[in-house]
Amino acid sequence: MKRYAVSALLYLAAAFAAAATLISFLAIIADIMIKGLPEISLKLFSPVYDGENFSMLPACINTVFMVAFVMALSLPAALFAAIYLSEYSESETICRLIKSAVQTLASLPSIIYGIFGYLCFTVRMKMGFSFISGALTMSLMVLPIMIVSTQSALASVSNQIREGGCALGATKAIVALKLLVPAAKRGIISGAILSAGKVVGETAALIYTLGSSAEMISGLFSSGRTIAVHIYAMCCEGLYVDRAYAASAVIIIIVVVINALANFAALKSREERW
Amino acid sequence: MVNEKICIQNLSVRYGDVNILKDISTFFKENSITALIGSSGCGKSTLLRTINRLTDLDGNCAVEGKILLDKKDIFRDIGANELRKRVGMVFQKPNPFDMSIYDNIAFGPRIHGIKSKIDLDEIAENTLRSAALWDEVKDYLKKNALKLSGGQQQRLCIARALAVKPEVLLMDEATSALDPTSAAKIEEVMLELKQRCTIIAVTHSMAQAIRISDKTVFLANGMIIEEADTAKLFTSPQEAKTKQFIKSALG
Ligand SMILES: Nc1ncnc2c1ncn2[C@@H]1O[C@H](COP(=O)(O)OP(=O)(O)OP(=O)(O)O)[C@@H](O)[C@H]1O
Ligand SMILES: [Mg+2]
Repeated sequence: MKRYAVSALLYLAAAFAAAATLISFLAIIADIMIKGLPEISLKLFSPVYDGENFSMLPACINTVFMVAFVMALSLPAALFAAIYLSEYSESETICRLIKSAVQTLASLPSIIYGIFGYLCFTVRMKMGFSFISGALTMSLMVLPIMIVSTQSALASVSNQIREGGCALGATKAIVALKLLVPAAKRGIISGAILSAGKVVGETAALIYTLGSSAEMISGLFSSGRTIAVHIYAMCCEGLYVDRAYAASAVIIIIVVVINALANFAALKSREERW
Repeated sequence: MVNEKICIQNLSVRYGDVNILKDISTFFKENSITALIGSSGCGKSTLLRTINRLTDLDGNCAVEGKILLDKKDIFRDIGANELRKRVGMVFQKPNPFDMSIYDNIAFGPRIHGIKSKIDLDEIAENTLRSAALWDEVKDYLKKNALKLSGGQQQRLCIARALAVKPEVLLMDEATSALDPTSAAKIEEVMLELKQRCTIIAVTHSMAQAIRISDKTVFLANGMIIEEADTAKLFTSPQEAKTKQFIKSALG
């Protein structure tokens, strides 16, 4: 009887937690969509921002560039760092040290990266408030996440594959690049999606590096703002909460699209196998 | 005089502090099949993996003694990758790569510099024929290898190993995960391959050892207890341990 009561209680608690999560998730989405979608108008997507249309098109485009550029910088770097950690490093201690450093970095609040990026890229390296200092800062921020996820994806590839490649006379590098990376592709992609999401959602690390100019960026050294920064700016100014909602609705749509695309890519590459 | 393709001299292998192989000396004749038998954990796989230096992958593993391939020391005179190209291996569990049948076979030749489509096509056909798989897959070369049955996968792994033209083929219980029909096919393939390869095969099946091997080496506890022509070893074993093992294994 008592066992039954305990398990019923556990069941209730689990069901409650699941329901609470789902409901709060749906509530947030519904709130933003209900308040945001009606505010979306063509005016919000004018090619040029001005004090009247509050266009977020430049911010949208900046966001896309930012995500693409950060991925282009950090994906290869993370890949090679992870390959080193999982396949090459001989010393257990050094490997563990690097891993725990990387894990610590992954859990730092983003404002720390913002301050570092500001002092290092914006001020010290005289890049000013610019796309490049924002992108470098964001790359630093997502690198640890990508390294950890890529490394664990590589480590979970079966040893039989490593030995199979080696037994044919393949060098370590070929085994890693031609066999392990393709086998770990799904894990690597999901780490990249997580990172792309972080870039889309980031404000603190960007305000002091990328800046918050409302124009579309015109080059590596021009300032701009991503949608998240745009929302933050709208809210800060206090008067434009409705526009912030509209932009929030758009950002959610962007995130959903990024996820769908990445899932589609993963699915597609699986189907190719036939 | 017999041609000793591989000659092992006073080989000892340790994992950490544990001696797995203890002062082993033997040789493997060219164009013959040698069966390695012995109870589980006696070091058969370890011996095979030392011959193509897969033991190098484990930082914990220490090797002493000499192994000669065509009179050359595999630890000093031959690079590990060069060695593994010449000494192929088929594992107990089929381990095809997650790519097409064709790419699986082309993998080895490609990394060793063969790029031409014509050459690769020819290698694919020849090795698949040698591995008795061609007729089953010739129309599906672009199909993913993981979609094949276990027996087909293992024959693909043999074809993949053959694609780099190995002089020696190490087979670690290559048929133990397969149904009898697939196993019989692979045994036929091995007998055929003997013409161009030296084969060293670990097996738990005494019947298989008797069917296919020319010589049998019996290991126990990391040491060679007895080795002889297969017929001789199974009909008139000299050592008490061998007698006992064969008796219990034939059950
Ligand atoms: N990577 C390793 N690290 C430590 N010990 C190992 C390692 N590989 C094998 N051993 C040990 O070496 C001994 C021999 O193993 P091996 O795999 O060579 O046996 P085997 O004769 O092939 O057995 P089986 O017939 O079960 O395959 C075992 O006691 C095993 O625990
Ligand atoms: Mg074994």
